[in-house]
Amino acid sequence: MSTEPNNCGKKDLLIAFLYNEASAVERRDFEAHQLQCADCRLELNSFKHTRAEMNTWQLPFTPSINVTIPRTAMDALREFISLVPAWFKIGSGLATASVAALVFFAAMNIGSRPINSVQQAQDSSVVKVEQFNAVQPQNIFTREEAEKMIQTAVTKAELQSQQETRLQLANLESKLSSAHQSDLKNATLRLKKQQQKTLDALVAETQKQTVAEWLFASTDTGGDDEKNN
Amino acid sequence: MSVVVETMSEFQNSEVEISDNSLIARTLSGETEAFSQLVKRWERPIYSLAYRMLGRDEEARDACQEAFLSAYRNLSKFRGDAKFSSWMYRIALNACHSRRRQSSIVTYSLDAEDENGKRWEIEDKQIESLPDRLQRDEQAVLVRKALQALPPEMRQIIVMKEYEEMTFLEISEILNIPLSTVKSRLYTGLQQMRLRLSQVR
Repeated sequence: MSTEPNNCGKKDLLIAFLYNEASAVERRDFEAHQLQCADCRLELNSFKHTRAEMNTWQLPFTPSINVTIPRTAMDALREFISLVPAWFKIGSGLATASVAALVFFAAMNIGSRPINSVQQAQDSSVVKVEQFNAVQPQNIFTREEAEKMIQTAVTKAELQSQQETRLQLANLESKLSSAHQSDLKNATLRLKKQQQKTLDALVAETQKQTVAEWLFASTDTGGDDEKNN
Repeated sequence: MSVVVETMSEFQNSEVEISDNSLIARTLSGETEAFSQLVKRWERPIYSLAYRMLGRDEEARDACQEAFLSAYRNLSKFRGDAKFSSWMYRIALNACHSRRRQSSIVTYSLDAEDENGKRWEIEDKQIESLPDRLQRDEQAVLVRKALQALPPEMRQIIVMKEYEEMTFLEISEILNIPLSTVKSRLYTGLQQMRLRLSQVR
């Protein structure tokens, strides 16, 4: 077996022939060449033998590669979007479009305000404030600012509710007292009437008694007179 | 008959490529399951290449994982003008070279000579100590060691041609080198292998 370098200059052709990648013309050329060139013939045979030896090393098993693909935030977002129902997508799309439109119109309105017309600016200041408030949720707040805003809103709501409760209680009290007073009046009137009735009855009784006594007395006096006569 | 077989083979290959491209498109649109299918399809040839290049199962598996992860991360950079398999092989070879550079276990000197005068013997205690089934096959172990002792640029061409059965053109495209360089490196590699194997025979 030759281990000496082959200086024939047909290395590329030999390799192409060895691996069956030579064209028909190249194949014919090399077949003719190796009949005359002992070095190339020997080298071709030794390479065939080496290849056979190399092919004794085969993969002993079929591997299974577990590739864990790390999920990025974008992947999670994509998956979420693919999982949410169509109505949610449409709804959120519309909401986003409305918010964008609000912002756009607010910006347009603020931008179109005349700078030299102070009066107009003052007149429209209320509207601007309202618009600004409507746009407010678009702004990005820090956590502290958001907490402060929530606390203020809660305190304001509590105060308002307390005031409303107080007003309701006052109303109820006034209604009760007026009802009580009217009841008292009625009762007083009823008592007065009753007293009057009782008084009248007593007066009538007294008068009756007086008349009866008088009649009785006069009857007694007449009898005595007759007796005296 | 052979023309029909070749045509069928080309058709099947183009079908695979179309399928690869559609899987890539699906992966890029956020469907990670599509990439798992690509991994399943190509894991064996990629592992085989890595195993021949690195000589150890564990290293080959790690190189495979690195290669597939790298492919996933750079999938948007994949241009459809080349085959996915070629692109994937290139990434896998880079992963193998990178692993080789990190590891100082194997030396590549072709002129290395031990006390017994065996020129190809290399210090690779891990290979010798592995209770691998390949160690039972003496010839296979000799081949593996001889191959590992070759310089990477020769070894990769022998692996791609001899074991992965790629054409010269495919190797040339993957390594981005001229066809003549592929052939001359293969020629030199075969000579080195013949020399090393003949010395221990």
